[in-house]
Amino acid sequence: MRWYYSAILFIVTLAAGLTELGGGLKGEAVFQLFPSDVFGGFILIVISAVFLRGITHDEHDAFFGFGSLMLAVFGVLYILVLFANGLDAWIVGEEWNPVEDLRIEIVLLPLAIPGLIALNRARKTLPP
Amino acid sequence: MIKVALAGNPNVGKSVIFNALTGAKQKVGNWPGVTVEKKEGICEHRGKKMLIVDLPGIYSLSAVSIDEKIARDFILNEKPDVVVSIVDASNIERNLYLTLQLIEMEANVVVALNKMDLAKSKGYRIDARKLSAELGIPVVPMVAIRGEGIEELKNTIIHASHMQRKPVIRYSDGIERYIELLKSKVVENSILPEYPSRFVAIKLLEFDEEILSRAGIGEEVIKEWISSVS
Amino acid sequence: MDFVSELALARYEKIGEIVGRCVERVEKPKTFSDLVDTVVTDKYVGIPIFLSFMWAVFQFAYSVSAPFSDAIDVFFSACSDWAKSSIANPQLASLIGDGIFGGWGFVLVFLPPIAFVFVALAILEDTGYLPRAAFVMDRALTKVGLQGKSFIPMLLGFGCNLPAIMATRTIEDDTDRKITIMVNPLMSCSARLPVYVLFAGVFFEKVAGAVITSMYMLGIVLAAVMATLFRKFIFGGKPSPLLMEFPPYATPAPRSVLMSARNRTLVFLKKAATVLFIGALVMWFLTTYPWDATNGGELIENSYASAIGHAVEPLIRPFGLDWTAGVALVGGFLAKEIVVGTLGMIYGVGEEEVADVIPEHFTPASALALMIITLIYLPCLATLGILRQELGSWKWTAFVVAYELVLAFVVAWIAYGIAVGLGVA
Repeated sequence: MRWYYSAILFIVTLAAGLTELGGGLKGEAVFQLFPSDVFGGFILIVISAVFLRGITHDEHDAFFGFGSLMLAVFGVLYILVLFANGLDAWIVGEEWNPVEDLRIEIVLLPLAIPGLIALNRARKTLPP
Repeated sequence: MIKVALAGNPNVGKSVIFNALTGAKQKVGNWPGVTVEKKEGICEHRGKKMLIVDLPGIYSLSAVSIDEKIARDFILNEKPDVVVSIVDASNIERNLYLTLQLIEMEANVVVALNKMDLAKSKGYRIDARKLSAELGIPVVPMVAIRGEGIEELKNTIIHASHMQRKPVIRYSDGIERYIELLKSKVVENSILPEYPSRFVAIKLLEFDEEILSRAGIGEEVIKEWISSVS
Repeated sequence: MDFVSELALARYEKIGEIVGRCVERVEKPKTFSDLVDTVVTDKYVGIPIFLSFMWAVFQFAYSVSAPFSDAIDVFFSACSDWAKSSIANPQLASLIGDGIFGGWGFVLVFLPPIAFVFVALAILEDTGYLPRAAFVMDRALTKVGLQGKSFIPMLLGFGCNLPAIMATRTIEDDTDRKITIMVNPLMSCSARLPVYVLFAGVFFEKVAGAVITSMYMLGIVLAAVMATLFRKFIFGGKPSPLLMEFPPYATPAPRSVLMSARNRTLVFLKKAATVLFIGALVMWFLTTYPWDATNGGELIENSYASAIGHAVEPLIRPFGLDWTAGVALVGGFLAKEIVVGTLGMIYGVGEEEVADVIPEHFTPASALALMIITLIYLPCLATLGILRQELGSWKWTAFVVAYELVLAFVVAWIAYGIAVGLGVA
């Protein structure tokens, strides 16, 4: 894995995290598109820090893989929340627009794929 | 022409570095009066010419063995502009012993920190910049067999030939007391003024044969001076 | 003196110093687990990673379980309505409608979040991550008299103190475990959140988020302080060192996860549900009786609950709180969720309109006092039950209640005084 994969992901997640953080603090949706909350923003910033750390660390691949794993975990989590909100709205009888729950983290999911593949390869080849 | 000596323990990659610096422009002969091989070569870099002299591999500069004598004499008498102390990074503590002695001699030392790859595979992470700050001299990390660091070494040698850094590395207070004492005696009595006074003081403390005979001083004199402190 | 060896020694000493400052011995990661550990125990990102995963546990437990909780709520509300409209005898209708269905519904609404927390916890456990988390937090925690393994229970306390206290079973050392249990209630559980949201929203609008976060921070700080005090003055000794082998990472097996979650959830159900259910019945009784005086539960001012509230009032008047707050706080003993609901009941408004009525009974300063008291004053009945079970004696349980009451009044008094002094009243 070249370090520039990490650099790209670092910039993307940092930007996403900062905008979500800003949106969350102001109480608005980001770009009128993604719902935001302060903690989601923080977490994206943490993920960006993982990528950043990998750029200068000896074990770059480990950080790249793990950062991608985190992206995947939170992306999936927000998908679950999305469905839960939908289900909840149906039960309680409220209006629900799925687009309102489409968070940045879900959109960023595909970016995690290269890292996940690398991580899985490592898992299969190395001793546990 | 810049006169450069390559010093270091045996098996630190000195020959590899020598060859990388001099290429085909080498000359092999003998050190004067002995059967030890002497290698010299020319290195041209950025318009500057360097005469590279490969000193025999030694662990210390105590002047007991022939190899040590040769190395020491060359540095003290031929006064090279730069001495490159080649250090095996995977064995750093043992290798730095010679470096410290070179610093004592107030040679213009540049450390070539070689075999960085081997050190890393052994699990060592060495901060070359910090090491340079601690020693007070330039440190060039290298993996000579891969050609890494050679250019930087050439640049550093040229740079050092203008810069002349002569740091003093102080040891523990206990021993420094004696070193200071002998140093003042050396200065007072103008003992071997052509050599650095701290170096002479340390060698006298060690009852170094060669220095004692050159200075024309016996061990008893030194012992007397020492006892006057305690 | 042999200066030859002295000098050689001096040089090596110097080298040792220099090398110590410039060279780091690093174990090369050899296995997959080693590789992951380089990231997870990294001195810079290790703790943020851990906190992120803990937050993920909460999000999972509360957001994803919400539809299930709401489903239960809707179901039991419907049952309750049905009971009250179908049963002729008004007292019986009230008992079955509000008391039993209401009570059950109230208890079972907790079930989904707790079950989900246990699922998330089981997943984390099975992957092998938890020992790394304990390791990463250990240094910070030993400074306040706790240890690495205290962290998960402390963090779970932000969800619900009950499973949090149960989670202390992973701590082997008895003293470490006791201290962790005793300060756990100070970690502000989710049941207290509605109180903060309501009062911070009404009185501190612009900075509501900051006020709410400060309540959580206050809880953490007090927990750290009390843990240090307990360690120093009551228990002595030091937190046991974290000696642990990291097990290799593994993919969690769904069956094992579900089984573990199921078992723990059942334990919760059995113990707490009885307590909570009885508590809800008691609350129903207190707010509905004497039947005639309250006209079947409508005029709460005439109920036993109100009498209790009035009895408590002198204690809380110094903070600008009245008997309605008293009832709410007493109700909070049964379960902290009851506080806001009780206020609604007393003011005779639905939960949505409570915010409008609040300013008639509270000021910013007294609201702050109420929030602080809610944060600290005593563990809810369910937690009390678990405390007794895990601490092993009534003596220690009583001690916890006592220190919390005292702490609540002291901190509230200080905060109220400062607020009034700053002219916030």
